[in-house]
Amino acid sequence: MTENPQDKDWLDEMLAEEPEYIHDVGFTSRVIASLPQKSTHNVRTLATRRIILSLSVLFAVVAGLISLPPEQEIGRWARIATNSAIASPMLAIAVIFAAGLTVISASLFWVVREE
Amino acid sequence: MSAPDSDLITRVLVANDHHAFAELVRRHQSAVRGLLRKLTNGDFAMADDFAQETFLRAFQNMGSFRGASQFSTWLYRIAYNVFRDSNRRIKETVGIDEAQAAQIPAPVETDAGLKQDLEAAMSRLTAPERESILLCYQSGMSHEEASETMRIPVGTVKTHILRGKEKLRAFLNRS
Repeated sequence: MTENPQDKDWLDEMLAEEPEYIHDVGFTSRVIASLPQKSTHNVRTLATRRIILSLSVLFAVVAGLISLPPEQEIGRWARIATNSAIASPMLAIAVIFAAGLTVISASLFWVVREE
Repeated sequence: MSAPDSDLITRVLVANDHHAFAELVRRHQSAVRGLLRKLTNGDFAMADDFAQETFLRAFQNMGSFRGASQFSTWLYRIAYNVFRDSNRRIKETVGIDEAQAAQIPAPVETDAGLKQDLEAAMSRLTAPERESILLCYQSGMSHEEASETMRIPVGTVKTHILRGKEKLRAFLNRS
């Protein structure tokens, strides 16, 4: 409050005195419990976005590896792995399933940790 | 080092972060509950109910906080509105008129109990006098902020404070 310093007297000082601290004693917990819960729809949408993003990154990395020149060891290895997967459908399914499972688990862990 | 209020507010707005809001509540609960305890004339249960409602409204309307004033001032404004709305709803007059005030015995002043005497004397003021004094002195609002909060002219706030203080001096028998 703005007031001339000469106006300050015992009553001003008493009125402006710092009030005693009130301990929380569960008050904050009660307030937080009364807040509207976060929408599960938002969480699901967020999880879906993260999974799509992670899969896109995974496929981009695989595509990048395959397109490397033949003299690159990693590129050759990636092509051999891709050819083997194409030649053996069961192996391809197993690899895709494992990769998908890993990405989904990682994405869900990411979402849950942020919540 | 703890994050400033502005960072926590941003986290609430952007990510609906309940942890950030809990930190804001922890920081300001004492001041808000203290103000409401005085506004309700020491009714702790009612004051805590009002304080809970205050923080709930703050959470729901966080987007309207523009940072023009301090976050605490914004909270006091909400707290006062909760108090006033509730009074209007239940038709309960916490303040008293001048005739009623005159019937309440003046507090007996002792050096040790001067603070309690002041609280007793405060309860003898009319509601607008007490509220003006509490908002400006205890909550640190300017006359303009109190005027905006109470929705009365600045001059009226000043008059309430002046009259209230004159009465307090008379009740406490000090010059």
